[in-house]
Amino acid sequence: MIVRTAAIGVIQSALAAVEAERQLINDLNVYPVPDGDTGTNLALTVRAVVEELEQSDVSDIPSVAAAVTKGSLMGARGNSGVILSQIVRGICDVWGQADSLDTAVFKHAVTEGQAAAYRAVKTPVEGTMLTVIREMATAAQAVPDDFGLEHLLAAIEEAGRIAVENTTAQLPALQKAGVVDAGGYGLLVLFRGLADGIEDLMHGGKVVAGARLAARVVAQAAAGAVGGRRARPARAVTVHEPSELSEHRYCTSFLITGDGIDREALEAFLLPIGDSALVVGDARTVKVHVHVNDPGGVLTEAIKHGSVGDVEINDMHAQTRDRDERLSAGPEVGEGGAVVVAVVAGAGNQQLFRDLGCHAIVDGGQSMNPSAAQLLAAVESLGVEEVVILPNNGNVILTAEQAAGMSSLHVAVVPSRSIPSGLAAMIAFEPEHDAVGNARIMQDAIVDVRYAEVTHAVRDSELDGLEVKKGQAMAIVDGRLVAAADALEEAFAGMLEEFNRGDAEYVTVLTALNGSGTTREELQDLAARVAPDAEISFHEGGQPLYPILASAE
Amino acid sequence: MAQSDLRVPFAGPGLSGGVTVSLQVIAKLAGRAAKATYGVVAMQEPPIRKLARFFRGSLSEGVELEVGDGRVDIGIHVVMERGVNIAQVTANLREQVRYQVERVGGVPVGEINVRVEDLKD
Repeated sequence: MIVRTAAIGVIQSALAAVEAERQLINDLNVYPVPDGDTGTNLALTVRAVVEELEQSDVSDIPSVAAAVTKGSLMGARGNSGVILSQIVRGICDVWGQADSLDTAVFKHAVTEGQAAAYRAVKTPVEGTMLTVIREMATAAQAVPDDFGLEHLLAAIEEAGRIAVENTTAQLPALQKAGVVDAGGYGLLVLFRGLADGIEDLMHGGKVVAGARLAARVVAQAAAGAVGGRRARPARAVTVHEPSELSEHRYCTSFLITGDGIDREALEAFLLPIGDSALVVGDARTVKVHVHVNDPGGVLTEAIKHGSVGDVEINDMHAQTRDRDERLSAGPEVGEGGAVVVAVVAGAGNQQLFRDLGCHAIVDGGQSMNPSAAQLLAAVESLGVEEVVILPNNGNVILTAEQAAGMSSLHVAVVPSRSIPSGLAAMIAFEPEHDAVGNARIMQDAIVDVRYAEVTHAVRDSELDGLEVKKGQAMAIVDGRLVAAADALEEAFAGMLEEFNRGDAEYVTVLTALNGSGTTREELQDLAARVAPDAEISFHEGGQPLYPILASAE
Repeated sequence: MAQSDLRVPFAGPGLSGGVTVSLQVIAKLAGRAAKATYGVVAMQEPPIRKLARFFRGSLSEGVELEVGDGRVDIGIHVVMERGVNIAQVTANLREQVRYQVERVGGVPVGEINVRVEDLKD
C-alpha cells in the first residue's frame, strides 16, 4: 500500500511538471510530424500510469512496477508516448526486482530504460528522446554507487539538459525550425518532476534537495538554455538568443521545361554549392529546390537546360529573424489559450477592443475591407497557435474564413457582422480557452445581440418598403431599414424604437458625430425619452461613414 | 507487368504539366519513414509478397504500392517490438508515412494499410 501511494505521489509530480509545460512542448514539436501534440501525448501517457495505479490495489514493489509498465504501455499516445512507455518498461523491469530504490538500483534502471528504448526501433534517429535518455544513462553510469540519490538525480538532470540543447544541431528538421526536440525536452521536464517527487519523498515532503537545486541554479545562471527555466513562460516559445543562421541563405526553387533535361548534370552542379538539393521530374519537366548563397548562378545554369519558370527565392535568414522577433515580443497569452484578431475601424473602437484584451487589430471595415493576406499576416504575427478572428462586418466574414483556411494555425472565425456585436463577442472571450472553444462561447454571446447602424443614404432608393432620399439619415437594424429621416436624431429615435419592440435592456452606442450637426448630449437626452427602460451607454467610436453604430441585448 | 509511375500535376493556376514520380521514390520514402517509426524493428513480408511487390513496382522491402486515380495506396508489412502498444505504433506509422510521402514527397496518398507480420521478443 505504501509503495503504491509513494509511486502515485512521485508520478503525479512528474505529471504536474509535464502538464505545466504541455503547451511549450507542443509548440516545439516539428519532428517527425509537425503536429504540435508531443506535450499532450506525454501528459496523457503519464496520466494513464497514475490512473492505472489508482485503480489497482497492489502493494509490493514487483506488482507496483508491473502496474506502472502496464499503465504506460496501454496509455501510450503518439510517438513520444510509445518511446516513453519503453523507457518506463526498462526502468520498471529493474526496479521490480529490487527491494529498494538506491543509487545503484536507479543507475541500473535508467540504463535498462535506455536499452529498452533503443531495442524497439529499427533506425534510431539522433536528436530525439532516444538521444536524451542515452545521455542521461551515460551520466548515471559515471556516478559512484555510494553517492546519495540526490547527486545521481542531479547528474542525470544536468546531462539531460545538455543533451536537449544539443538536439537542435543533431536533427536538420529541428535546426531549420530553430527549436530543441519536443520529446527530448518533454522527457527532461518529466524527469525533473519525477526527481522532485522522489526528493520530496526522501525529505518528508519538505525540502527540495540541495545538490539538484544548486545544479539548477547554476544552469539558470548559465542562461540561454530552454532547459534552464522552471516556470512556464507566458509566451508559447520564447527565444533567448537569435537562432543560428543557416549556412546557405536563399531557398531557391523553380521549374525547368525542355527536352532531354540532364537531371544528373544539374544535381552535380548543385551539390557542391548548396544544401538540401532536390532535382525531381523527368526529361521534360524538372522541379529544382536548393539552398544556396547565389540563386542567380543557379538560374544561369538552369537556363542552359531549358526554359525556367515559377521561380521562388526566399531569404531564410530573414525568415529566421522574423520568427525570432515574433517569439520575443508581443502580448501575454494564457496557457494553451487563444488570442483575438479583430477587424475594426475607428480609433475609439480600436481602443475599446484593445481594452477588452484583443491582441491584434486590422484596420478596416465597410468600404475598406482588409484582404485575406492582411488578416493572415496579423494572425501569424502573434506567434500563437490558437487564434480567433472577429471580422465585425458581413463583407469580411468570408475573407476571414479564407485567411483561416490559409493558415496552418488553429484559427476560428466568429461571424460578427458589426463592431458592436464584435464587442459583445470580445467581452465573452476567455483567454485560457483554445480557439474553437472560444469561437463557440463568443458566437453564443452574439446570437441574441441585435445590431444597428445609422448612416446617410448615398442615393435615392426604396428599401424594405421605405422610401429614402439621397443624403437622408437611415437606421438599419439587423440588416433591415427601419427608419429614414432628414435629421440624424430622428433616424436614431427610429432605431431605438425598433430596439424597444424587442424589449432591449442594454444598448451600446458607438458614435462618430464629427460634422453630423448633432452632439452626444442631444442623443443621450433623446435616448432617455425614447427608451427609458433600457440602460444605454455611449462611447466615442470614431468609425468612418457611420455616425452611429449600436447593439442591443 | 509493373505499374506505371505516378504523374502529379503541378498545383496552382497557370501551371501546366506535372512531375512524374517514380514508384521507387515513393517506396523509398515510405520504407524509410516506416523504419524510423518508433516501435518498428523490421520490415517483413511473406515470400509470395515479394513477387507481388516486384510486379507492383516497389523494390523497398515490406512496402507495396498501388497507383490509381492520381493517388497511391500504400501497404506496409512490419515487425514490431513485443510490448509496444501496437495500435498506437500503427497509428504513428501511418501518420509518419503519410507525412513523408504526401508532404515531403508531394504525392497524394490514398489508403495506408499496415500489417504487423510478427513481434520481436
